[in-house]
Amino acid sequence: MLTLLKGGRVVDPVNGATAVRDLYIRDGVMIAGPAEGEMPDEVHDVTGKIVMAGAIDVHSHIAGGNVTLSRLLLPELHVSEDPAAEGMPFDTARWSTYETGRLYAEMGFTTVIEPALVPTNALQTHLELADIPIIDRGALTVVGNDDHFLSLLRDRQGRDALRDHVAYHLAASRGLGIKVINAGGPAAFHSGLRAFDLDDEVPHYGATSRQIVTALLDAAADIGIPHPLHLHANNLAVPGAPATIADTIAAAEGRPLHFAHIQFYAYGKDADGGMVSGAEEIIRSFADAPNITMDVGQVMYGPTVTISLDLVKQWSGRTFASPGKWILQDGDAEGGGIVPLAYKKKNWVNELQWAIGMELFLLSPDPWRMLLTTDHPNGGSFTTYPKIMHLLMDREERRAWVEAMPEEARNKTAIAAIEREYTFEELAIMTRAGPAKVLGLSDRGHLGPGAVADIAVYDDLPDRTAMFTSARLVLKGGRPVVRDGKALGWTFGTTHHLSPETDPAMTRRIGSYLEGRFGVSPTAFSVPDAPSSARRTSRSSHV
Amino acid sequence: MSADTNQEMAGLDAATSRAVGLLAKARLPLIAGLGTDVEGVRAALRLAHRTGAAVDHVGAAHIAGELRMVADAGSMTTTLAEARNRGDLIVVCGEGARRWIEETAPFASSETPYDWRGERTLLCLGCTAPTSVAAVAASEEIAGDPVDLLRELKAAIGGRPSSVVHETAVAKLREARFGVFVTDPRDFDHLGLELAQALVKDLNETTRFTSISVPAPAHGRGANLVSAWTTGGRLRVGFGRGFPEQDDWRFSAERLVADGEADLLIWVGALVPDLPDYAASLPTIALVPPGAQATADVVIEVGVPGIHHDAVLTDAVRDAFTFVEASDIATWPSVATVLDGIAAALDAGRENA
Ligand SMILES: [Zn+2]
Repeated sequence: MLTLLKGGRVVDPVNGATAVRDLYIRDGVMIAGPAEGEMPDEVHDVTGKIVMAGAIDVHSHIAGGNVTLSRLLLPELHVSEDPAAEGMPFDTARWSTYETGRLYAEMGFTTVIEPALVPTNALQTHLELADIPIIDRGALTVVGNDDHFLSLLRDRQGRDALRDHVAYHLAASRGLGIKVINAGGPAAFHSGLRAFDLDDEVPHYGATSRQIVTALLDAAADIGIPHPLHLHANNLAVPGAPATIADTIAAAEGRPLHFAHIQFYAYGKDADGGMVSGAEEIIRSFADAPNITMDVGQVMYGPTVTISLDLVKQWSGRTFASPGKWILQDGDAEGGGIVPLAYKKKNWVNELQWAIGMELFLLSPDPWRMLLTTDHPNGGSFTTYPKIMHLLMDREERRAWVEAMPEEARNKTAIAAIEREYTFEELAIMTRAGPAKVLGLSDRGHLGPGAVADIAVYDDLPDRTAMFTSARLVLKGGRPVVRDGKALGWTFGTTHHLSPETDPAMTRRIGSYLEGRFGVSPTAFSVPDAPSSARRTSRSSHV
Repeated sequence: MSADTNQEMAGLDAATSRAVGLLAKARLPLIAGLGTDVEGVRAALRLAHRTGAAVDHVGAAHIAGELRMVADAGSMTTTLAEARNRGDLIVVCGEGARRWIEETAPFASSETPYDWRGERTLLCLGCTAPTSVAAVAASEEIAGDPVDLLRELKAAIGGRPSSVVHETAVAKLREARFGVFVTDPRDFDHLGLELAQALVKDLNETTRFTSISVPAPAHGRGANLVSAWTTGGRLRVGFGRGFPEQDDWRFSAERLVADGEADLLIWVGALVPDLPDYAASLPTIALVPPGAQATADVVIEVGVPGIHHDAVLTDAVRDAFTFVEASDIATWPSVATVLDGIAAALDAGRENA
């Protein structure tokens, strides 16, 4: 089947300058053009519209045990009140997987990565991901805090053993990459520690955070994982953390490393130890390190909930819980902390957090390496992305926000002096090509021949918020899934994952470890095809 | 396809038609029991959305006690494996917790990957010490109502005056490095569970404490989790307005029947074969395991998940979703197949009308 997307202004910086040109799709894949004399079977006239590849989110908490715990904790934050659209059950059910898929798709996002796939509870994450309609998904396997890994490190079992351990869990949990959370911190928290820095030792294991990160950088390289090690660094939200980030960048020694939600680390200290923007300090470390990528974790105002496996941070954050209730779960390795928060325009710390995020975007010299996230829902909902894009593309829009900041916050950030506006091309890199590259998804994020035909078409409105909230047309694999800002029905994408080679001896070794630890066979932790393929065949409301 | 299978299929079609006939007449259908696997729960929620039904699970204490407590106050919990391996003080809160520990023996092994844990201490509130716990260095039983005891201990830990001072128990709590409270939600209301959690939180100011619960019956944890990600909220849930509304009181199965609001019951009993008493007072479609002697207007025999067909279930041994391969594959349809079949027949009926 040949599809023509006709007359749009194509913003695809990977494949050349922005220009009005036609795009051709054959059977869901971009092609250079039709065969001679061939007529398209389907034509979408997008004259005057902005056309980009479907957007990709590298870090959004959309599925898994902790996300569902937040659903259980905060029913009052997501009361449903609109009837579902015909043929789209649960599409208005707030905080449901169905609403998540619909809202992302309607903004023109076509691939979203859940960053915390816990190996001992991988199946729940995959069940939830499979229930997120329309978009493609993937997840990052969480490693580095479990007893088996830390014991290998303590007992100096060597680089190959650590690689094989990581490969086992990556394969068994069906991850697309690996992530470590406050390396060693959650393990230390189980043993009673309440703070954890780069060179602190995990009690009973003698391993430091630095050693864990270094070992995982080696493992990622040795396995050949396309996505760099995804790091939730130490000292999240601690003033002075930019020094930790600089130290961690140095520890990477040029190897690829991705820092998640860097805004939450960009807090400097003034002479009295008070919080000020540390964005410039972060950018200094970042600018000179081409091996480093980051996502921002922008804060936006409103009530939300923080979902994190960083038990140390969530324990200390519990005192800020609003409403005043929280969950802390000691998991088999990390666990989870669920702390509701309300970011308020009248709170100077929250204002400063917002401004710091903006600074990071605007001071970043490289949209390929500084990516758009809110660490959904930790800094705010992913539904605020259009507003963030607006603020980045329009300095007048930003000025209004900056001028509304209280003096106390404005003095602590350089945001007011920044004039930069993001171009469409920079935006396309930051939200499409950059995320695709960092995730190793070479067939998306751009519209060149061979790319998957995941395409977002927008009206070129001065109100960028409105523009990016409601895509005029979204194609997923060449098929229309959104028109005029509304999802057309339920289709189901795929969950991308890697299948790394595993070592049979390590598989046996971990198998007997799991049996001893849990009293069940390792197959109890597996993620079989059956649950998801059963879904395909069961009669639900697919379009 | 064997003759038997053909006959079963024909029987299923006829039963589905009768079920559809009842559903077409119902004003407020009620899907209850909900003892089924993940696919079964998903299908039940879809059918409920399709028909405006209310959905409830048989594990009432899990919903109205434990999950209510979580929504009201939050919680500190751990996994069963962490409790077993890391816990150096096990606080058995009440008779239900004691009986569960006795029957399922979660602490029967002295082994642990954490070789620094050492032996365990037991503190039993309002019950005797379970005998199935290994590596017990010391054990203390305090008689009384567990709720009173929790209140007294919380006062003592917080340095507040209390009529009774449990000196050695308080010392044990303070000395623990990773203490684990065990409660059975059936022994407490949500406020009692909140009290236990408040004590756990207080203890974390100086050391590490957490908790586990006796698992809900009939895949109750799993059913609520599936509901949470599908509808945004846990059970109980109603779809009468075309979108999910979570409400423990409005959508309680017993209340809906007692008040005459529900006028049709679909009992999903793959894991709970016995129909509730209230089923006698309204038309009932019963999905029950093969051979269950159910009395209902329509009885459909379904396979038992994990036995007659592959299934995803929350595993009581490690309290997470697990794929369970069928141990004795049989031709009885799954709950999901039956419920999806009913929904399809309803759709076909609407198209033909
Ligand atoms: Zn995150």
